[in-house]
Amino acid sequence: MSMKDSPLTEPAFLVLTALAEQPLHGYGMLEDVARISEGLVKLQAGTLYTVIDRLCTEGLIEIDHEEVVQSRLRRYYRITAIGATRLSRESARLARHASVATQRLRQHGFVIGGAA
Amino acid sequence: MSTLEHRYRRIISLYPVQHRQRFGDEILDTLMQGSVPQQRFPRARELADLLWNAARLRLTRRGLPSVHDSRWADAAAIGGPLAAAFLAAYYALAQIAVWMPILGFAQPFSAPWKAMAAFGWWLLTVVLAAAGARLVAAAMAWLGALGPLAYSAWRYASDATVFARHWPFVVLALTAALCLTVRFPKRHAIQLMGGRFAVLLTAAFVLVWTSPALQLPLIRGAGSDYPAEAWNGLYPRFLGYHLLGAIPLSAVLLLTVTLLWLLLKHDGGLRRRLLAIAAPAVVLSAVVNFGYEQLVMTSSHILAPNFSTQIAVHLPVKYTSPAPVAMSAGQWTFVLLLPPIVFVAALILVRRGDRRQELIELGKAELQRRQAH
Repeated sequence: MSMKDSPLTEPAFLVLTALAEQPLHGYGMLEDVARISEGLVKLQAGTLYTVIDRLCTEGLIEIDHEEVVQSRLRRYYRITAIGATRLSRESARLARHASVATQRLRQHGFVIGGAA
Repeated sequence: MSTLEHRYRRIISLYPVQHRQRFGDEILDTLMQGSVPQQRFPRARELADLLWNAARLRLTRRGLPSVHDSRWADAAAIGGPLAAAFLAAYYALAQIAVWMPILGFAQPFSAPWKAMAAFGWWLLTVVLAAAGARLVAAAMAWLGALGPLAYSAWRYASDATVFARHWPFVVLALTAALCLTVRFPKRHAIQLMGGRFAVLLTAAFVLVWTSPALQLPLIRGAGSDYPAEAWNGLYPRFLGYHLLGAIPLSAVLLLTVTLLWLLLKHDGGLRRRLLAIAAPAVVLSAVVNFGYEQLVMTSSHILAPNFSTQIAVHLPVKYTSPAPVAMSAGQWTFVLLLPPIVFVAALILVRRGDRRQELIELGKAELQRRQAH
């Protein structure tokens, strides 16, 4: 399995998901990730920019545009075509796993999304 | 610039320069956007996250040991058997505590059979590693590390000094175990060192391992089977007394010279990594020996310790209780954190050394290119 085919980490998956809708800057991504995960994942700035660095290196995201706000650089990122394909594959993979998990839980009488 | 922004900038300055140049302003903007009015300090979670990522980026950019870096695998191939051989040497020389009061041990620290069993264990580990049975040697090294640890834990309630005394050797044993766990080809260390040098190094170790036994004829030659008699009664007419200390000392000196040669004969990359592997145990051993006296005093209630010149000067120790004194929280933290801290510091030095070497090589290549034109 090559590096590019390896599963995305949860922060990377959520950042790609956030950028799939529209270009965002760092703080925008943090807010959207918290929204997507219903507040369960609260990324911090240090982790976010390590993820952005990796995603840029792999060509999954790129800079959309820059602006200067209060004399500080604000950079917006967008998902690339490669990034969209990768996110699509990853979503399908996770959906398959979730489907199997749901099926097996139902077979054993567990309530989906709740306690046994 | 606000106080908060100034503090964020100081934390961001801990990141590697490339990451800082590329993302520094953005990280600051993101942090400032997430702050609330009147906030003066970074939040604990974001501070921990920034520090963790700064450390991670600094270490992973060619600094952190990686199985993909052949120089670390080479260093592990040599370092693992060497660490095991050192442990064998330590336990072999521990026999001197029984046979040679000359070294200043009023009483043996441990019964001879324990040192002999430990010596045999590590000798077998070295032989297995040299023969290519790396995984078996690694398993023995892991068990060899756990043995003194379990013994220290068992004795801790009555004598905390046992832990302090054994801890450097546990760290050395863990070093051997970790190195032997790294995958490398069979007899890789011998190939790296060269057959002749491997024979020389083995001979130096064999001399150290057997040096306590080499003294026996001298003691017997003085007409006694007991070293204590040689020390106390026979000293004035026992000329061989002077050779007692000289034999193991010469063996250790010969081994030291051989090891220095080993370091010098390899390139800087491997040399730096070998030193980094050895650093935690070596530094810990020196520090524990240096701070050991006060721990003995506090454990034995000989007298209230004078901390003014001791390494653990700021570590609070209870010494008024009539019961055996345990190590304080500060002492525990110190001895437990020291090895990883030393290793991280050594990794940073390895990375700097690598970078300097790369720059020198680049400069040489550029010079050659210019001369060719």
